[in-house]
Amino acid sequence: MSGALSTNVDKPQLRMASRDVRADVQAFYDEYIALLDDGEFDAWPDLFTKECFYRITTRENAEAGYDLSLICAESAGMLRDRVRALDKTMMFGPRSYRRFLSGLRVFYDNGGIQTRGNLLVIETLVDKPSQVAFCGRFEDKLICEGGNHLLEKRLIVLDTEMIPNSLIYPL
Amino acid sequence: MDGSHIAEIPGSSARRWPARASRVPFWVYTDEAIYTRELERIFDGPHWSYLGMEAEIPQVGDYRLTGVGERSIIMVRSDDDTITAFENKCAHRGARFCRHKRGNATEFACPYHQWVYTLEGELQGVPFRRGVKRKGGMPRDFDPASNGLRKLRIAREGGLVFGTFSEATPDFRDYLGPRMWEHFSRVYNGRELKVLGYNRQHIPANWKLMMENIKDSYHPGLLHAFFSTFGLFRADQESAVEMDDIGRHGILISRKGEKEANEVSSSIRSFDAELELEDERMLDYDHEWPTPQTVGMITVFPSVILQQQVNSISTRQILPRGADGFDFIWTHIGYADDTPEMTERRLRQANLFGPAGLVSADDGEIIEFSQEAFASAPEGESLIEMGGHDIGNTDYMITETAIRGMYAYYREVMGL
Repeated sequence: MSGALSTNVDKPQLRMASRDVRADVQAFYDEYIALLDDGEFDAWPDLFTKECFYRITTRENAEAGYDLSLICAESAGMLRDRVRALDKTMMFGPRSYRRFLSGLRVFYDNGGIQTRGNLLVIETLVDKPSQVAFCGRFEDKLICEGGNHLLEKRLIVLDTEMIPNSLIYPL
Repeated sequence: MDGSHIAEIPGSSARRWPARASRVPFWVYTDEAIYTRELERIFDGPHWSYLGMEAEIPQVGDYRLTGVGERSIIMVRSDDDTITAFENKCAHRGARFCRHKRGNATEFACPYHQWVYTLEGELQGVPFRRGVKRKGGMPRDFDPASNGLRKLRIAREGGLVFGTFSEATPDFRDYLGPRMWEHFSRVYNGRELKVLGYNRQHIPANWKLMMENIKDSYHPGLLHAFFSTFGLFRADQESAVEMDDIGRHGILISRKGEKEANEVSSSIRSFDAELELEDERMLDYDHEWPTPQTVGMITVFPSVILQQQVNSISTRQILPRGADGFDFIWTHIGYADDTPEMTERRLRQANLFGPAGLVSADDGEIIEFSQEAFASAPEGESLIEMGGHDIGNTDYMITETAIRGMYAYYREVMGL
């Protein structure tokens, strides 16, 4: 069962980014997370390119080569549509998510940046104990425009295949 | 059955069903003794439970783990045209030996004492059955042929696989009844299916609440503001609720309209006429069905919901996990001969469904709210009187008739 515990990461044959670039990218993620943890979802799609690709799926789907997602958006417009639905049409119990990123690796990729890392999300519902809701990894592509980083692609693969009821907010 | 019937439930106080049949007592969702009886009489009883799809196990030896009630079940392609299913429980000491969700095997072995089973679930090998140096070993009268894994009867229809432990379960088509068979075979029409992927969620609510939710034609246009806003499911649209003759299976049928503000939308608090999608590809619908209906939500009692909502098709399997929770397994599918554009459309529309669905997340949340109240108020009753007290097919939405239908059957099976 050699493959059973593999997380199927394409081992990037890419060059590790310089310390300065890494620091900039780390700062970008710090801002990304702060914005989401603070619930500023309206501003979230602005951290992506117009034609971005955003996907949250599970390891089960990723390993089997299935294209189904928990959330899939093929443009910043679709991200804004999800934020609009969160705000206007979806019904869910109030909660907060706090996102923890670790093991960040930053690589050069044809003038852009690729990243890899781990993601842990703690969910807290009203009057309930905080719980680990989602655990997984991400594989992103970023571009740098006018000194600012933007996400061109964000792929989150969750180890958490049994979702504790709902996945409400973006990760 | 009259309302004064009192069920003898060991270990709990006597349970009396409310005088009016259109009420459901909260204790059916919380009482452990009731739940144990459900596992015995419903999931182990004369009912077909959803196991999976033929397309999931195309090659001989392909298997996947599934479930019936709380039991873990292995479904395996044991021969070119044979699918076998048995309980994932070693005949020796009971270990749940298969630990991988899917794979390919030539045999199954329990790691504890290495008892080996064929793909048909027959006991093939018992290490040291004759002992060592004529000492020990199994008794002479031990018969491997009668110590295989516990098998289920199998029904295969339209690419789906169902299983039952009971010899009393009628043939699958008779189990569905002619009306529900017609609805079933509209989507499962013999075209080869293709799996697009899975989503799994644990919902902290009694399993029956999910069956009720999909039989509840009153709620979609209200709870799901996304549906009503974008015209996918609204009370003024051409619709119907149908059941089999017993009332245990049901379907909600509807025909989508367009986004519009009218008399109906103005009475929906959650309706927002100003709302627009920036990227409309998510609602790009292609009518691929032989009849004008765009929605068919089937409940096959007790274990599965068969969803066809616009171009999104899925099975939603219910695996109870105690009285107060269930695992809900979504398998999204298309047809093997879909164009790439149709596959993309189905994958995009899947954003509406599942644990993060723009529509379906609402359901998991609301039934959690219900369960919390039931647990704290066992004397309470659920009121299911929309559309009156009767049980019957309707050509409108504002009714709870299909929920009444399910409980009429439920009370009979459960002796309540």
